Amino acid sequence: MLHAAKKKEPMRTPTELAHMYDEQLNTEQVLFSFFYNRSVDEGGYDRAEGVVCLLEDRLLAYDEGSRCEYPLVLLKSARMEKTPGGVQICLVTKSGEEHALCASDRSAAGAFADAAARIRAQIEGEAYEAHEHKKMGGVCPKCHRPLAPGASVCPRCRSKKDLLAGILSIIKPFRLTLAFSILLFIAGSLLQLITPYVSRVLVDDYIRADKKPALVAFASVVLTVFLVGLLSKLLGILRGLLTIHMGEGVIVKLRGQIFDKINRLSLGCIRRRTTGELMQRVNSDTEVIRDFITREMATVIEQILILASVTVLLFLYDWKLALLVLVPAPLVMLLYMVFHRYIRRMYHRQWKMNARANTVLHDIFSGMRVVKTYGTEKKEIARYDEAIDAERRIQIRNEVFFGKIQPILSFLMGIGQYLLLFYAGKMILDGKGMTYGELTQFTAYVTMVYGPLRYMTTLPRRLVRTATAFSNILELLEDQDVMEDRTDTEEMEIEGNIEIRDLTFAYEEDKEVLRNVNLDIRTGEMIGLVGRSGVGKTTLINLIMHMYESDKGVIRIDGRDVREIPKESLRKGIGAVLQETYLFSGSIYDNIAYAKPNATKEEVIAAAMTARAHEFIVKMPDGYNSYVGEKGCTLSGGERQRIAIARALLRDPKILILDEATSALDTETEAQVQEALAELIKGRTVIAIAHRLSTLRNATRIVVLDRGTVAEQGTHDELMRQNGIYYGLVMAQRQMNKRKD
Amino acid sequence: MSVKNVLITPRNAVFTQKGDFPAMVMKAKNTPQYSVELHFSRVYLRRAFPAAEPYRYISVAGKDEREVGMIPDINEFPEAQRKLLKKELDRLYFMPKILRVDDVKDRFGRTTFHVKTDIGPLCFTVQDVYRNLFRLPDGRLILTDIDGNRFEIEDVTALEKKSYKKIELYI
Repeated sequence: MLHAAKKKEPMRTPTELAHMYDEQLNTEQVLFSFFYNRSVDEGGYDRAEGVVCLLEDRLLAYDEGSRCEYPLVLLKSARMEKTPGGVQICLVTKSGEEHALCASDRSAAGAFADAAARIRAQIEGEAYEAHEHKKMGGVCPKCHRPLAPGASVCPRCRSKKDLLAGILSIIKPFRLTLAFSILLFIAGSLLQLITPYVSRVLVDDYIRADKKPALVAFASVVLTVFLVGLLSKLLGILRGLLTIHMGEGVIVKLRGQIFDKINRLSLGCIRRRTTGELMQRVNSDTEVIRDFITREMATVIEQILILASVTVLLFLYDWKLALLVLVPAPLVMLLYMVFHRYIRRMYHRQWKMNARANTVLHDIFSGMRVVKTYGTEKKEIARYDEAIDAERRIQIRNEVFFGKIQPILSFLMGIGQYLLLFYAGKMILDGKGMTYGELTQFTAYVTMVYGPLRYMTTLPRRLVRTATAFSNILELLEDQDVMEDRTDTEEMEIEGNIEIRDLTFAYEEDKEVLRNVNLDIRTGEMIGLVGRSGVGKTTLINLIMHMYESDKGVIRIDGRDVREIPKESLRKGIGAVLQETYLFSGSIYDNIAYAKPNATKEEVIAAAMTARAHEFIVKMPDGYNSYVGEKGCTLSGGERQRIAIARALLRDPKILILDEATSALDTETEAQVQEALAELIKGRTVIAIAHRLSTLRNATRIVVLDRGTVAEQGTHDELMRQNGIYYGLVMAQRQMNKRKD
Repeated sequence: MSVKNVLITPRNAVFTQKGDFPAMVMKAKNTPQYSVELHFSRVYLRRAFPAAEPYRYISVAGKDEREVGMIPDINEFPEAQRKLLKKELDRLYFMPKILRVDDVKDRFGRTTFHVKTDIGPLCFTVQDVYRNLFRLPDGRLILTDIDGNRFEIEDVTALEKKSYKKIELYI
């Protein structure tokens, strides 16, 4: 929500604010009130803290130093309007004038739509029916920030506890394996600590020894080294196996869960997210989580342990030396972090340039046809050259910088060792002496300290990335906008009676696509649905198929509310042949059999024959096993349509939805498709979005949609006689056909 | 039947204020002989080039949102009408101008901006900045927030260095 940054004020209700502006206002008379935050100013808007109150007989709009009154008797209607800059509520007076009641930025869209509806109801003297605007996500109850629709808490306010709980629930099934794996990690690192000690013994007592050592003792030391090494390797192998095993388990389970959830979400919910986003959730976010669980978690524990134990060992040995070595550590870490942030920026710039260059490339390739048609090859080549040149320049700059900085960084990283050398050397020179072996051991420990420190500096960023991945996935898994069957529904066989009452639906708050649609369709009827493009025909069909929830009104099939019919029965009973024929990657056979997985080959072939598709299928080299790539692009439009018809035939639904493609086919193919469709229609209740006059002629009844509602109904002849919208559409098409000749 | 491009100029149209919005009376020629006066109690104005040409190529539509004609340049109109049209357009296309960027927090894919604009301090959230920030050909930057509100940065290079650094990553 757009608001002034950080004003610590008590949250007032709109009515309270109104009372502050106008003490004479009788708050009990206020039926409804709401805020607005824009006031008209020269050159645009200014911020306002306004409030509108709806009383029994008038509207009052308040702002700092202003008060406007609108008696309801003078008003005819009110509506919400979206403008490029925000939203406003317009009042229409009975004399035909329009007044702007109030304005706000876009975040108030839902609230204004609701308010306008209430004002309308009050003006018309009707009862107000609240209905949830599910399109607007609403606002997080804690921080009042906008929520994605379907979510109940925003990612920011989700308390750390909740997030942790969510993460734990994902990890829970693997906790035993995880614990074991962590133990192995720890064991491995502890083993590492032994090695420097053994080196010291080796160096002091054997390599630089004064007297000749016993062979047995020597052998046992060598054996120790060998065993430690062997054990270390074995542990490593075991660890690796466990990691892989667990990792795959986690990722498979998570991906399955997410994919399942995505499938159960409503169509609106899926459309709201891009395909890229959904794929990222299933693919990369799950990978990040897997890596965290299998590797990062254990590594963090391991590194902390090493750091702690080595520090302790150092201090035990010589606290002065230990301090000398460790004191510069925080400084070095800080330096490292600063550089890292800078480096990240640099690489980000480079990545962006790279992405830009790739986009240009992708663009040109996909649009190759257009490029060749308009002869703009040279221009496109220049465009790409420019893009990769920009990338190259940044890349060079980055590499040069890195080349200068990296050695310095490495040097700084090793500062502990130089200090150690100095101190130890001084000790040796002073005669206080450190044996060579001790020096070796100490050096080894010092190196082991800086490793974890370096790891810690990159930890925050990785933790954030993991938290984001978790949050993304949890957000998806917790999305409430599912189209689930209500638990008490029984299956039913659909016959084909459809009743639509007072159907109202809007995709967005201010544009109602369907308004109070009433329609009755009896079994066996063929309904031709006509109307201008965008009037709501496809929306009506989507609602009948229960792909979306209607805002108001009800659709009944065979007397039962669509919402009460289990999805499986609904899908079995309703089939659709739509404009865009989507064929999955697979064989033609698979695509047809998609409608009925257990279909026999005979059934599939029969369906294909009826759909007039069989002939062209067998002519293909692989016949029914021919592979149709993404979107079946190796087939022509007419062929794809007929496969879609075969698919619908195989399903054998009682209700058929047909969206006639207006694609121009050659007469022979057109005739074939027509025949196929004629077969498909037999004996079913058909709702056809019709474009061809021939289809309309055969329709039992034609329904004309206009401005979101049923304008005309009747047979072709009846409607022609009426001389209305249908007549106009038919005449326009006839004219167009005449012109073709 | 061809669609004619109807130009709306002072020669054939007069704008007045009706209520809080502009109304228009326009002379339309049906035949060369006589003209008809069309009355619109409220007209809807839309910029064809919101960024590049704020006061030229303005589309004028009636209540059913069908375009009636286009104003090639509102400066052709007499002062009072010009002011009326300008006021309506500026109001419709209002975009706060970001003068300074105080803070940018990126969390969970949503970025929250705390900025100072020409109408005071504001705070808004953008989902996926990369997709919602774009550069106009004349160098201006437009940010669209999660509700659809738009914000403008007139000249990125003119921003304070601190502000620039904060948003540099997203440009």
